[in-house]
Amino acid sequence: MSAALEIAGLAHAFGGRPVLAGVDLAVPAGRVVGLVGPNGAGKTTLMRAAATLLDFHGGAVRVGGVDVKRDPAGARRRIGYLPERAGVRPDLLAWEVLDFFAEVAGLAGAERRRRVADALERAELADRAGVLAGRLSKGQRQRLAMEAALFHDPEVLLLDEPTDGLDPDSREALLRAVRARAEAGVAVLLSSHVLGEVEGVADETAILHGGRLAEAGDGRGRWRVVLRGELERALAVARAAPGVDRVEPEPGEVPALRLALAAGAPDAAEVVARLVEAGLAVVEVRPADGLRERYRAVVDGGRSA
Amino acid sequence: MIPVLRMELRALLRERRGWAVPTAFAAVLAFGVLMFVLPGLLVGEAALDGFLPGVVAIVQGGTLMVAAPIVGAATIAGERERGTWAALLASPASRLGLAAGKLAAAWLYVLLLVGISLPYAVLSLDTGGFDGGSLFGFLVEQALLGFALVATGLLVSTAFARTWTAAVAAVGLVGAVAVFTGLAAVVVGTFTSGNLGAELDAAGLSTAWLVRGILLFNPGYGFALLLSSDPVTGGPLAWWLHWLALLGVGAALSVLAAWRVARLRE
Repeated sequence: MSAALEIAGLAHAFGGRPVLAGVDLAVPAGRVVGLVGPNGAGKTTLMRAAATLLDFHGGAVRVGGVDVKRDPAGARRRIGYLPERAGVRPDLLAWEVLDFFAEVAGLAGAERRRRVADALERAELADRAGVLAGRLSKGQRQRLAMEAALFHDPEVLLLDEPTDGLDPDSREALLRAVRARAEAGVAVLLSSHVLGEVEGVADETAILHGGRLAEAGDGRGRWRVVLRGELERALAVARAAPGVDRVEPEPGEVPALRLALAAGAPDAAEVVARLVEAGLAVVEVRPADGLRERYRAVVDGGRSA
Repeated sequence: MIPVLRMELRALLRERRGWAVPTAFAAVLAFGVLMFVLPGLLVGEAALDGFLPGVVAIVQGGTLMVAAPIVGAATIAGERERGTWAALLASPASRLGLAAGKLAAAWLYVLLLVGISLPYAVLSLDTGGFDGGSLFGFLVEQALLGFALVATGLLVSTAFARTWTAAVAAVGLVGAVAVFTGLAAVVVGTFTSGNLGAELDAAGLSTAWLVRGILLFNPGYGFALLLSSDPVTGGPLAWWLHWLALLGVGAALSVLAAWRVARLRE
């Protein structure tokens, strides 16, 4: 099955300076892919290309199988886009913002009113419906903008640094909403500077550096489990544990495992419990080679794929 | 188009600025009437003639030539300035609908301005001066001029990211057209006394009609038609030609603006 968002060989340059140099990325339905990278890495350019807002120079972007260059209007019916700055008009009331996008999505009458009311509830703005959008907090505007981008039931949600400048509560609320959308089957591409939040919400992460996709991988991070011995038995127990994607022995004198958890597995607790139940002595468990480490390695030039 | 039109009107009529212009316009008109016309009426002077509609026409025409391009220029540049344009462009809203909705909302707003002067126009029929036909011609001309000026503003707006720079550019463009067509008419008019004028006449081209043809595109030509006592130059044909010229310019600029919006990436 093809991914909901497919980016192949995406290339673009501003004034002769390459910003994207052949990026390949796929976001399957129901998955959140976190896009991280330093300033100028090309994250926003990639988002704009996927949102039909950039006449990119090379490669292809397909949304739900629709080529964004050949059929931009068709692609726009399949994407929901939340730009870096919350795209809501400050001179409209909160409900009017939603009502506009609901009408644009083709909703009418009682159905439109119901969907707008539902969206206000989800955005936790039911009691602020009659307030000018410009008077809402940044977090409230971001949630409003995200709901506004969803009325046409897009297959792909593009979120360009949606939590930038939000307080912790607003950030959590927005990320919960993102996760809920993914669980409803929407493919989400989310860019952020905050590695911890990407790791927390994304099923996979992609590190963009110097216009290239330096690495794509499991956003849940990996775990390092140090044992007192019996490495082979520990490998077998860990491989049989639920929520484990890959288990490898760590090279070195200390007997240790490297675990890669499957999407949806919160942490290594279940694996550790199985190891302990099997009578194995676990000395230390800690995140190993997580997003932060991979990001540093890429950005500092340690490695790139 | 309808969702965009509704959104624009909601925002325009909610903003303080949206009400400030019509209110100031109405206040200036009322001031003019109170200061110059009513005293004359009260003492029973019958020499007011075209003074009232003249004051109204000048204030209205001046306001329109500044306000209409600004309202048009604020449409897209304002969205860019607020950071809301990208979300709108990436939404399923049709680009034609976006352009048409914004144009229609701005034009309706300008028609509201024109409508404010209607009571004074009716009042002026009672004070003498211009006949009903001339006033009707002028009001229709103002509505069509508003359309052309709003379309100018919309087209200019597609190239700017700041409302005020777009507004200055749009008003400047309208002013430049007024000056250019005015000067061109003067220059062509001087041909009548020279050899070129004679050659044109010999070729069957009247310089008077050439001058008139250029002035048809001048945004201030409505005043000349309103104030003209000549039954030919101020007659129905002249009004019709001026209306058609404004309609043609407005339609061409609207199509151009829609074409630009359809191709805009941000």
